[in-house]
Amino acid sequence: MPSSPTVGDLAGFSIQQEAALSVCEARKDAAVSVLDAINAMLKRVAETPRRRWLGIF
Amino acid sequence: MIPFVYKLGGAALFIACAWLYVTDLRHDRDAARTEAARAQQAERTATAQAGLNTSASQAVEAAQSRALTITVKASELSHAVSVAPGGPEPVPSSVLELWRAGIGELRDEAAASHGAPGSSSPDVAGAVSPSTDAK
Repeated sequence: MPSSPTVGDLAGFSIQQEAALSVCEARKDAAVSVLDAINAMLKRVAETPRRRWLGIF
Repeated sequence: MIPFVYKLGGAALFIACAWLYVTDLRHDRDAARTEAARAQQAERTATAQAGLNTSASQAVEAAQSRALTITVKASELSHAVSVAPGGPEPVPSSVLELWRAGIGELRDEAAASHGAPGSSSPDVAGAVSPSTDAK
């Protein structure tokens, strides 16, 4: 590990940080998509009409 | 000659048997309907679950692909700037000291907001190592 960073190191570091943020954003988008899909599924299941046949009379 | 009471009893017995039979048929019909409704519900749930699995897989794959692309591109760009003219020159000490202090302050603040003890000595040299990959 270099003890005295160079200008290139700093610039590269900032690029890596930006990339890390973009990756986080991509993963957040995926998580939101999954949550949306879960919500849609729960809604579909809940909307299913439940018929109850009570008693025999 | 059969007494009237017997006739009445026979008729009542017949009616009771018929009623029990009809009741049993109704019960069977209702049970079949309930079972059909339950099967339909299970089928819809399974369909919805399959849709969810597909959506989740697609979302995760898209995110992984995006992350890989970003990481590769960042690595290339990082290498490009490190070897560009002027890149290998050391950072001026005044700039570096301010940079170290700024990073340290930000890290302390982040650690304090998470309730962890702050680290006042940032690993700046490691942080700016060209080999550091975005994860």
